[in-house]
Amino acid sequence: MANLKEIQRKIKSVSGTQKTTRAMKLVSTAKLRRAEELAKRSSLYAKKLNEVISKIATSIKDNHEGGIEGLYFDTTRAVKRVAIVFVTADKGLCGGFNSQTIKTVNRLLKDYESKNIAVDLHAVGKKGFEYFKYNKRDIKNHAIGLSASPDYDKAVHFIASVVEDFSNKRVDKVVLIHNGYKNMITQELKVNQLLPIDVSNIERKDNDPTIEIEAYNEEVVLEALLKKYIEYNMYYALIDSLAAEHSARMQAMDSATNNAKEMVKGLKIKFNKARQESITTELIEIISGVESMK
Amino acid sequence: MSNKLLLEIITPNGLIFSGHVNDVRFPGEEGEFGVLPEHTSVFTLLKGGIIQFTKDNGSSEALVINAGNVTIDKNSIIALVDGAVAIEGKGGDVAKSLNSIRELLKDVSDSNIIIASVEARLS
Repeated sequence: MANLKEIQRKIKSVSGTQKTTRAMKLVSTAKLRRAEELAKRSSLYAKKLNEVISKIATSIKDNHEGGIEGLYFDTTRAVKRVAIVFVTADKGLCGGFNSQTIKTVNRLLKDYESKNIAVDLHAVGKKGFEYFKYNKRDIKNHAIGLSASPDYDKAVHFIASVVEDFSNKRVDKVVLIHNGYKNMITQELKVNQLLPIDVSNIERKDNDPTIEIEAYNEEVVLEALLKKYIEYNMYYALIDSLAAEHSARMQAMDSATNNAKEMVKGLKIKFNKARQESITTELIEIISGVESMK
Repeated sequence: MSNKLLLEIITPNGLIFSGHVNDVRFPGEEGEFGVLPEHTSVFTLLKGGIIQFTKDNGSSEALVINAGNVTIDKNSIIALVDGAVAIEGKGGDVAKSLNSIRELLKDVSDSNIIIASVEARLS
């Protein structure tokens, strides 16, 4: 016979957990709404910025025949060292959100290492950082707290060292990985090559006029635009990742609440059965006692 | 609509303005410049200053920006700016709008001139 007290204790603990997970779900739902709004508003800027970059890039391609000039567009450079910038959450309890990103980073790591390409890791978020630290991986740079509250200036500060490495030709390629927001129930893992900017697959129609860069110094203008492009992509990855984190947590907490509910239901049945059993046993004992006294 | 310009002003916080305009004036990095329909395709940087445009219904609008860039491609203009505040307001709102403009321009070097011209516009 299962111990009645024991089952009662279990029911209490599981319903306590259920309360916690439900509260967490509600918090995530509220936060998701805000993050989603921010991501939606910023996505327009990101989209237009990418459009401008591709317009400018194709114009440069037209002006300089035989390939795009300039450091940032040179995709032919031999790759010896890659910088991987990845964004994870600071907190767990959000399903496979963090592990998906980590898995992709691991896969890329193995891929590059098999080709004898060195990799620099730049981690945003505690979870990713701790995972690679535990696995004794060198992490060149990390930021904690940035993925929970994206901040443009901090994002700029974080990516600056990566861009510097790229300009100094210490690093030949920069990849940005984050788990992005698709809709309320799905997240989409995004792997973007941040640098060099690959414009080989952008086609420009012949009748489109080329865009001139109107400035005393073209390079300064171009550099300012590219800087903005890189910084904004970093910032956008943070916002996108935050929205995705909340949607993932919302889902995870929802299924946790449902599971707890099921468990309580099962335990209650078990409790009732046990109670019934104990009553039956008691009755039998009384009846047999009466029988023996006859 | 071929002789109208399509102007889009976008900040990281979203779309500020989108619509057909007759003309636009931008605070370019190397001096103020105006854009009329059939302008040549150009890309340039913007510094802190005032973007002024006339909408196709004839009304004129202005807003203050701190920095950004603009791409003119045929008759479509995309202005990507870091921050923008509309110049508007009457009575008590003027002070509020001036304050937000001052806040926006705090990192811009010659902000006093811009603020003075905004004040002139509002009074």
